[in-house]
Amino acid sequence: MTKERAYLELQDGAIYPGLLSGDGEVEGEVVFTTAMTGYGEVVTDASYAGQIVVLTFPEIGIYGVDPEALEAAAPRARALVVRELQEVPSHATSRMDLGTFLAQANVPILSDVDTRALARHLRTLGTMSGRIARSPRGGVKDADCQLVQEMATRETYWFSRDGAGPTVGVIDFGLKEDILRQLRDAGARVLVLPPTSTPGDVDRAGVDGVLLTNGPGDPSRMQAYARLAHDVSERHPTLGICLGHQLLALGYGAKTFKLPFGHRGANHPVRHRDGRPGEVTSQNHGYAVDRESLAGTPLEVSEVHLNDGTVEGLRHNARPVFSVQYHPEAGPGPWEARGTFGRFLRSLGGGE
Amino acid sequence: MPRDLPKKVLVIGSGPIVIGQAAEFDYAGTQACQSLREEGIEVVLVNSNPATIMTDPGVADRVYLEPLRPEYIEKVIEKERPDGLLPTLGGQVGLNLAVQLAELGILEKYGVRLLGTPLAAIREAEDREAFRNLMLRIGEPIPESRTVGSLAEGMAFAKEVGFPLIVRPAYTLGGTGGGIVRDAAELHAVLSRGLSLSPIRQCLVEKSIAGWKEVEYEVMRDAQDQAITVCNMENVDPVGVHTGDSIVVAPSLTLTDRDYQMLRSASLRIIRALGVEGGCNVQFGLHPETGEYRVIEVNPRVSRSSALASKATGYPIAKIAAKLALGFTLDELRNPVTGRTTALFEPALDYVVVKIPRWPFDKFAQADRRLGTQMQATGEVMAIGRTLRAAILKAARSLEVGAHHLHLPSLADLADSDLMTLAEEPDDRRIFALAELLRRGASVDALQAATQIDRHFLREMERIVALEGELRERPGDIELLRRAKRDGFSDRTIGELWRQPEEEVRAARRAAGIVPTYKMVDTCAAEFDAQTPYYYGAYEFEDEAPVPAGSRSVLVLGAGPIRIGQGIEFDCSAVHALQALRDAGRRAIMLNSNPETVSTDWTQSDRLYFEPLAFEDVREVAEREKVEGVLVQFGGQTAINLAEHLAAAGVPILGTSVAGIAAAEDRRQFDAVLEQVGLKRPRGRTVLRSEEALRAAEEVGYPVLVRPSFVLGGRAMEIVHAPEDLADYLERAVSAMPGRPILVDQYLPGLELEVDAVADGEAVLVGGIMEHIERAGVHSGDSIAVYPAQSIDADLEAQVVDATVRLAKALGTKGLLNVQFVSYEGQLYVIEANPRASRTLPYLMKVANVPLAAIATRVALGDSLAAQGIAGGLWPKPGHVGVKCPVFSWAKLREVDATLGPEMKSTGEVLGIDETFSAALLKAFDGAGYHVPQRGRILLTIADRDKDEVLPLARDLYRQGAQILATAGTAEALRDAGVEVEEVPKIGEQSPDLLDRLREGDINLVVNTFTQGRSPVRDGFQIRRTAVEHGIPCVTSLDTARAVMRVMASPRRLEVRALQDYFPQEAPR
Repeated sequence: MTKERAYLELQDGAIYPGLLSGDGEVEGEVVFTTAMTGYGEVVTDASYAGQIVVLTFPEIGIYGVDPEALEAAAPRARALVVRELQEVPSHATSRMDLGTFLAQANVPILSDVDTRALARHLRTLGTMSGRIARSPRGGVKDADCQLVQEMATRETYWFSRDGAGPTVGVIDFGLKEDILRQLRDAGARVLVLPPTSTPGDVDRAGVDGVLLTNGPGDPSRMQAYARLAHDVSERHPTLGICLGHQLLALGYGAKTFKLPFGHRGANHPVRHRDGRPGEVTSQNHGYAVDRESLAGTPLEVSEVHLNDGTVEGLRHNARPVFSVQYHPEAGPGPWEARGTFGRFLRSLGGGE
Repeated sequence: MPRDLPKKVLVIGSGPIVIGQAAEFDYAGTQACQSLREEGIEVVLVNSNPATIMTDPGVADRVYLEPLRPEYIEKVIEKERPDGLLPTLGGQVGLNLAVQLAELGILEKYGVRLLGTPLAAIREAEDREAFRNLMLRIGEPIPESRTVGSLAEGMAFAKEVGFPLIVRPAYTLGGTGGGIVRDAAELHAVLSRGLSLSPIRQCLVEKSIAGWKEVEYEVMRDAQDQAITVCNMENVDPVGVHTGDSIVVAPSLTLTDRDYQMLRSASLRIIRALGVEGGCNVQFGLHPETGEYRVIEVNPRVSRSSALASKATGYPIAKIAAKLALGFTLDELRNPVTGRTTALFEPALDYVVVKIPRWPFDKFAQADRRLGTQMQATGEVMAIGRTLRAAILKAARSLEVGAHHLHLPSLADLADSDLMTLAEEPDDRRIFALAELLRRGASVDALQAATQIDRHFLREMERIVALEGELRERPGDIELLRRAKRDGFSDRTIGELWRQPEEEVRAARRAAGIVPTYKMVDTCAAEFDAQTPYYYGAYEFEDEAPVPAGSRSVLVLGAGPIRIGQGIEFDCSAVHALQALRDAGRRAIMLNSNPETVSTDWTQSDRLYFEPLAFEDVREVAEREKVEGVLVQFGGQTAINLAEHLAAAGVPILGTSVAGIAAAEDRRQFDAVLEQVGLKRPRGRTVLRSEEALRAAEEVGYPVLVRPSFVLGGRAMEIVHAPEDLADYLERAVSAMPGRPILVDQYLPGLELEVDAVADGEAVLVGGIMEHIERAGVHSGDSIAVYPAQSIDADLEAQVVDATVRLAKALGTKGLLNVQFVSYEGQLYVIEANPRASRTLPYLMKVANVPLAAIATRVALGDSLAAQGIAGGLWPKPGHVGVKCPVFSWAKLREVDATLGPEMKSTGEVLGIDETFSAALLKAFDGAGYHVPQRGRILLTIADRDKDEVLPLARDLYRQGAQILATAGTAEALRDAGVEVEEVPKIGEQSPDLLDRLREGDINLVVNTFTQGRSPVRDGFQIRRTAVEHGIPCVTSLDTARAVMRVMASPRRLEVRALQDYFPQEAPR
């Protein structure tokens, strides 16, 4: 693949040189993730829609792309920024090299970048927008990441209808397929619904419980989805994940706020308030639920982040409704929170 | 917060350095002591190794330099009455001792609680069968195996699981008689041999997973069942090569997230099932095609791998493990790197770490250097880069094996087929052989097939080789230069490819603004603002290690990888230098490449650069830090060798000048200095041809000490007694290295004395005079040393002090000076002088309580001895005696002759300290693991020329109550002298011969002085090897034998005393 000199230009004027694979220029919100493995899962995670994703782990592409392990069939991130891109993969499960996989979807990769310097910049000054282009020219606009509709399904479909387990209606705000796989593997029948569904649509689907998925964007600008989250959770046992968790909080009247540079990585410690041991979790979120704003809602904090004390989990004080800010489905990241799906199914009276 | 913190905790160290157990436990133990004391706990430390930081009186409240044997530890417990014991930070030795103490009921007797990981968990992890059962119970896959008692059973198992298989005979030492078998015929042969060798006619037949990827996880768990993995590591060499002998990368590079998480989850299940409270290491085999895995083994303690993981990530595993053992939980502990995040998290790396082991085969020309399941490396280097290629090249030039790139010149002459053999049957040169094969056009696929090494690693090596080719074709191309620097190439290598001097490459590079940047190791991939002063170099966009303005900085060079002759002693002194610099108000900067050490603990310096000890890398750091100067005298020969280049580049060398170093190092200059001050040295000649050597030997007189001037994988030094032997030696040496100079020196079998001193140009402080038990001819590092010297009179003492003073002044020494003397027939000769910290320095500092390293550091900074309030002359001798005894790793090194000679072979040392020489000697022997019986059966096999000398000794032993065994010749001589002897058949004479007797465990001690003649070589060699492989002390010098006799004859009384009690006043660090 030919590479040309190109730059990542940030809104504050900072310029990071690199080598560009792919053509066209892109703008987006620049975020970094510190997960050391699973670049395939990262680029296909729709929560990164509209974002230029910086991978802090420097050696990327070594094990190619395994379609079985992705979070969506095609890349969802807008662009990828890496230190070292391996062009020839080496792994039994690889079906394609990362460069080709992204080129097929016109997702550019800027490589040879001092990604550590970039992460330090973003950590210090906060998330901002940027542009990848062959020459810097200023005027980087605020990126718009309100892309739930673009990322989510438009039609209702069955992901898995095998077995006699409970039926979970998954409302797709930009879901990761590992959520569906985990539900299926825990014994659920899995029906995926579009984010434009009404509470009535959900009722009619005959689900035993509802899962509100992750997805991209600022939750505070998604009042309609927040109302949907509230309404379905009033009628069905509900699990919210990431954006789904934030929408639930908003639906019950709490507020969200933007984190300075987000939580993105596979090493985030979370402590449960029910006395369970703390866990290392996979995270990818730029917004969080404002703890103070929960006062007066039926939601209470069930889990917190050990580093900054932010809300990582909520529980309804009367109904079988709970949510987590992190990603129990992992992909990429640690597996210990996968038990969340089994707990959810048990609350529906099914599962393993 | 734990509710019931112990008040006083006993920490057991790991004892002497042996292969498989090195400096990493000093690092772990030192951290553990600090970690306990932070909680207000009084720490009692026992360790027999004086060359450690952990045994400094400032590290623990009570330091016992006593043998690591249950009877001594019990004494310590009786005296100190600790209420807790931390068993998991002293390596396998510390762990085994703790288990023994528990089993002997000693812990219960004195009410000592085992902290952290419970005994049951330790047993379950250590016992092969118990571990196997646990794995089966929790559903973790292990290699299929079966215990068989017949050929038919073995064949049936092979039919079930297929080949290759490993056969392990039961109850044979070190698995003797076993091996890997690839087909039915091999299984038939090996299994029948194995069954006959096994005393219970039983073998374990195990499915071999050789060729699978080998992956390790470092895991921590607290009492509340919270668990994390600190780091994973991937071996470049697949299963089949011991992980300590493997090239390792961290984190894993060829594992997908699913692979990574699958093994991570298994690690957490295992640590939870075991119930470890602290750290633990889990090793896996991962099938490269199917993705299935097997658990290989678990170490329920901190280990070499955890030291590597700590350095690779910045996460202080031992420190946290000690806290967890006290009952603290991960979530309530802070991550000391960021200061704000919790210890319950997993480090994220944004660089690649490469570890390459360092093997001792340059010292052991005759050793079988092939790598297998028995670890043989003595040390390792680590390098950090932003890419694998950069890290590999940095590691290669850190190794000090005659390579400054992925290029070993000695392989250039090998045929392709020989290189391919090196690839298939790996030895220490495999990575260089692979690079050479790639240079000659071998394909990655062919090499993968030959080695099972993942293609990714081979491809990255291929890219390095390809870039060499591009550089060669385009000299002066600046863009190429930039790429090469980002890939880790040194200026020197680029210069060779461009056919330009290194200096010109450097000038072109700097003119183009291509300079290294330094990046922090922060555990979190820049997510948080960390304050760790821990950096590595990379050619990147941003430098994040600004040099504080106006700081007075001094750079201390470390000693690099641990090898025979340059061990932990140097690191110990270097750490003292860092401390002295900080005390003197300087910014102390450390540069080193060895991950096992205390010096590369980032809390020990104001700034740590984890970089190669190569000229370019050191110079870049020295220049950017605008150092006042560089201290080279604490980094062994490695640092000394850099001094001249650094000085020429304008980097100030503190202490002894480059000229002063050269005056001691250069043979001709040193002779001139000796002549000038009127000191003698043994006569010697440098010759090129055999005839000249024979003539030279006649001139200086037999016996002579001969050696090649360059010891590069060639013959070692030898003492030869007659022209025939010399001719034989020359034939071997000259044919190995034609055209190389040979040194022929007069050999003086006198009393060897050694001195460590500090000089400031005017005054000289002689720290102490040590005496070697073995006469000159046995390498000083392999001799038993005694301080204060016992057999010298005031006159000789004065002569030694005077000679040291004169020599130090004439050499212009500013700082440390080590001098070795031999006193022979009333004359004092100088053997050599080293203008640097020596192997004996930590030992002397501890026994004499003289902070020589700190004093020397101050001198190097310009403070005279007088200004430090120190008078010259001999430091006052203490009332007690310290004996330093060498420890060898014979059992680990196949086909190495277990005999002492002029070439150093020991890997470590222990100290015996007591009021009398005999008592200290006994402790030294006990500590070294040479159990000297009060009575017992002693086999004497003595060379003819030693027979006269051995008679009085044998008579004494006999009177002492020992039973003497000997072969015919020796027996006759002894009988004539009135000693009752049991005659034993020589090897092969009749059964049982003397080797059988050794194997039967019938003999307690072997004294063997067979030398390197023709036919005795084989007998002597076999006797010595058989003895060491069966754990029987084997003494090869009559001087050692006399010391043993002394111990046998002396009354046994077992008393222990803390270092702090030997020196009740405030002990300096």
